[in-house]
Amino acid sequence: MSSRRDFLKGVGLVGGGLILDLSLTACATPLPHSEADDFEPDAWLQITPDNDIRFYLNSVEMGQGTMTGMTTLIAEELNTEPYMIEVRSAGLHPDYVNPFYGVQVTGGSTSMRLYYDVLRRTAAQAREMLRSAAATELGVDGALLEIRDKYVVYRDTRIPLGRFVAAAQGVSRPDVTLKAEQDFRFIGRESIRLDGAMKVRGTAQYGIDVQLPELYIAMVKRCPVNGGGVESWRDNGAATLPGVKAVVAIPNGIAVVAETYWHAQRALKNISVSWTLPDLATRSSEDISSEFAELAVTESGRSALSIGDATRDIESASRQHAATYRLPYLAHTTMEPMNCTVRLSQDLCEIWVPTQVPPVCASIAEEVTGLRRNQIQVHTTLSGGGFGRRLSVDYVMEATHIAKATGLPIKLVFSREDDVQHDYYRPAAHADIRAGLDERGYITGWYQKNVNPNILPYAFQEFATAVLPAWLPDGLVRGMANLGPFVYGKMLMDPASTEGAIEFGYDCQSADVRHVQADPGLRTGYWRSVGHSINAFVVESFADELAHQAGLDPLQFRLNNLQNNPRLAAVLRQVAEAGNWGKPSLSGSVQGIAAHYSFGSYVAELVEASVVNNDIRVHKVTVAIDCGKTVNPDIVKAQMEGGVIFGLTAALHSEITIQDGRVQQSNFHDYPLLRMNEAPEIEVCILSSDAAPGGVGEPGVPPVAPALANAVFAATGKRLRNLPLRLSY
Amino acid sequence: MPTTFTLNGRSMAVEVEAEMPLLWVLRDVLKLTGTKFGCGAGLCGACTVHVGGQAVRACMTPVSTVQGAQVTTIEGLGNGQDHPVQQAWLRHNVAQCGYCQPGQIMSASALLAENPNPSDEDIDRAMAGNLCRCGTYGRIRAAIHDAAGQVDSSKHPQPAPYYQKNLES
Repeated sequence: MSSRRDFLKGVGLVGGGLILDLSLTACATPLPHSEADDFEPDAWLQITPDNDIRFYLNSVEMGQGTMTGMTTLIAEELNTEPYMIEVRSAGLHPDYVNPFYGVQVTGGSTSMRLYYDVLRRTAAQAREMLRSAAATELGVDGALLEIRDKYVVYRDTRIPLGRFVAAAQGVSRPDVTLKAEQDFRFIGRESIRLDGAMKVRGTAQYGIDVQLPELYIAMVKRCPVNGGGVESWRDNGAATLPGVKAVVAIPNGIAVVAETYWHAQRALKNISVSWTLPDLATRSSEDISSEFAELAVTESGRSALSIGDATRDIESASRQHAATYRLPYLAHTTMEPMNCTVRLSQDLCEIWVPTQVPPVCASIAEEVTGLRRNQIQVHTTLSGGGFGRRLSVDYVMEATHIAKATGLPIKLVFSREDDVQHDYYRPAAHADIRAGLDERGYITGWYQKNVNPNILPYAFQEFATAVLPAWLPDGLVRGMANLGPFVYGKMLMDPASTEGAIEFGYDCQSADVRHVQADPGLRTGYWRSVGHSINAFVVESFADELAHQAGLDPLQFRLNNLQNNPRLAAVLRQVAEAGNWGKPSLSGSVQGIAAHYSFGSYVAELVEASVVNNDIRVHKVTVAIDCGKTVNPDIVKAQMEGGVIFGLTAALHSEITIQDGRVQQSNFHDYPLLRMNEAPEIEVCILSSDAAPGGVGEPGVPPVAPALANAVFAATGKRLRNLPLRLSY
Repeated sequence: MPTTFTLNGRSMAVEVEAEMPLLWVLRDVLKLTGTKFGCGAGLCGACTVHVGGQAVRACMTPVSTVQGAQVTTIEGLGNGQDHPVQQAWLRHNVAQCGYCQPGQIMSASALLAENPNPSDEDIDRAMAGNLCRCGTYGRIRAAIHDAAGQVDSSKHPQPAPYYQKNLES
C-alpha cells in the first residue's frame, strides 16, 4: 500500500476513499492516485469519504469534448449528474495504455470507441459495490436502494455515497448489468460542456498559462532548415540585454531564457548562428513535386491492397478513366502555440505540457536528464488545439535541455513563426488513380498508387523510447529510434499513407492500391484525419469524375456502386435529402457531394457553393454522420462543424512550400485560416444507430475538400485535382 | 517611470519598457493569463482586450499607449459575474479547445456595446479578425445573436451549477 501511495504522490494526486483494483493489464503497477481510505475501483474512478467523486480522465481534452463525453459514461452508470463529478487529468499508468496503439495516447478518434463499455462497466461496478456495502450496513435489500446524484436513497433517507466507501473496499468486484438505453439520463442527451464555463471565463489553464515561482520564459533560435544543427554561434550581446537570464546552446539551436516572452524574443534577434545543413537544404517544392511524379512512373511501390486482377479488369472494361491528384504539405497551427514547462532538480523532473502522449514526454525527459522513469512527472494540461501536432514531443526535448543547461525552471514558448516553420507536416502526396466502368456505370477494377513520405519513421524516433522494451540498453533504444527515418521508412508499409485508399468503399471485383515511399526529408506528422485527408480527396473527386464519365448523377452513381456498403449509402441518402440535392437554395449556386468512412464513422457532406470571378465561395455545408451510438449529440455536431471548417481551410487556403529546405510560410498572413466572413452555414444530421460508437474528432474533415471540388466542377466544368483549390492559375 | 492604467477596475502601475506589448505585461508581468497569445502580429485576435471600451489587439499595443486608459480583459469583463456574451457562449457550447474564445468574447462584447442589434454582415466585419482553428464560427454567430436578444435562448441547454475547478488557474 505504501508503494501505491508513494506512486500517487509522485504523480501529484492525493485523496482518500475507494479505489477498485480492476486492471485491464492485470499488472501490479500501483494506481496513480490513491490514499488508504479511498474507494478507487480502478485507475479512473475515486470516491472519497468526503463524498467527492473524481474521474481521472486519461484522454487529453484539446477541444474534441472528451472531458464531457467520457465523464458522461461514468455519470450514467453512477446515476449521478456529470457536473457533480470532478474531472482530473490522469497520470501515467499501464491501465491508460491505448490498446489501439500500445501507448497512453489521445489520437485516432479512439477515446469513445475504446472506453464506451470500459468506463460504463467501471462505474457500474462501483455503483453495485457501494449498493452492496450500503445494503449490509443498513440491513436492507440492496434492490430497495437507489443510487442517485452522489447519494444512496432509501425511502425518504439520503445518505452520501462517501459513507459507504470503507465498507465497499471489502466487497468483491461484481458482474454487472449495464443500464438499459431507455433508462439513460445523460447518454444521448445534449448538455453544457463541462469545460465550457472555465473556457469562457478565461480561467481554463492551458500549458502556456502554467505559473511557477521564479519561472522564466525560454525561446529557441532553430535552424531554418529542419533537422540542421549548430556549427558555431555568437550571442552578440544578447545575454546582457535587460530581462535576459541566460543564453545557452542546445542540440538543435540556441536558447534565450528571459523574464518575459518579449525580452526573450528581442534577445533572440541578436544571436547569429552558422548552421550545419541537412540534405533537405537542397530541396524545393517544385522539384519534390516532379520527383514524386517520376517515381509514380518508375516505381511499382508496395502493395497495400490487392484483390483480383485490377489491371485486367480496368483494361477490359468498356470505359477506362485515369487521373492524377496532388496535395501539399500542411501545418497544424493549433491556436495555442507549442510550449512546455520544465522544473528540474537533481532527482526530479517535473513537466507541465499540453500533449497527446504523456508517456513519450516522460521517456524523452528521461533520456535527456538521465533520471529514472519514476523521477519524471508529467502534468498534462488542457490543450489549445491538438489536431495531431501534440503527438510530437520536440518541444519537450528542447525544454528539458534548456532546464538542464540553465538549472532554471523554464517555460519554452514557440512563436507563431516557430510553430509554422518547425511543424511535423501533413505529407505532400502525388496520387495516380484509375478505374474501369462497365456499360451500365458499375466499377469493374480500381487502381491507386500514392507517392508520399511516410509518417511512421518520424513518429517512431520519438515513440521508440516509450514503446520499446525497458530491458533494452538505453543506447540501443536511441540507436534504433534514430534509425527510424532511414531504415523503417523503407521497410514498412505505413497505414497512414494508404488509409482511406484501401477502404475506398465502392463495390468492384478487383482493386490494387500501392504506395511508393519518397521522403525529401521534411519531417511529417499526424494531421487531423491523417491519410484520410489525402485519400478521401483523391477517391471522392475521382468518383465524381467516374460519375460524369458514366453519364450518371454523382449521387446515383455512388449509390449504384455502394450496394455492399449500406452505411455509407445511408449517409449519402440522408445528406442528399437534408441538403436538397439537385435543388440549390441560392440562385447561381451549385452543389457537390462526397462521402467517406474513417475512424469508425461514416460521413457524407453536401457543399453548396458558387464561383464568382474565379473566387470560390462556400455558402452551406450539410453533413450526415453515422457514428454508431451517440453519447453527446451536440458534441458530435460541434466536431462535424469543426471538421468542415478545418477541411475547408485546407481546401481553400493551406499550402506549406519549401525553398532550399526552408519553409516559406510563417504566420497567418501567408498560411491563412478560414475566417468568420468565409464560414458557411453548417447543418448536421446524426443518423440513429445501434452500432458501436465510432470516432467523431476526425471523420468530419475528409469529405469536405472533394465535395467542394466536385461543386467547383459543377460550376465551371473544371476538374481541380490539386489542393488547395485554385481556379485562377 | 511606471505606466499607470486601470485594469479591470483596479489601478495598476507597471515598471516595464515603454514598448513592451500590453499582452506580455498582462501575461508575463501581471500573470493574468486569460488573454491569449496566438500570433504576435495582430493576425489572429486571440489577445483581444478592451482599451477604453474598444477592442484592440494587445500583442500590437505598446504598454505606454494605455497610460491612463481603462483596460478590460476577459477576467474583468463581467465584473465578477458572467457577462451576457459569456452566458450566451455557454448556452451554445461555443468553446471547443477554447483557446481563442477569450479574444472572440472580447471582440463580440465590444461589437454589442456599439451595435446592440448586429446583422450577419456586421458580425462578419467585427469578428473576421478573430481566428478559430476548431471552427466554432457558426456557434459564435448564433451566440452573438442570442446575446443581442435575437433568439429564444430557452431552446438551448442551461449551464450546470458547477464547473471544473481543477484544470483552472
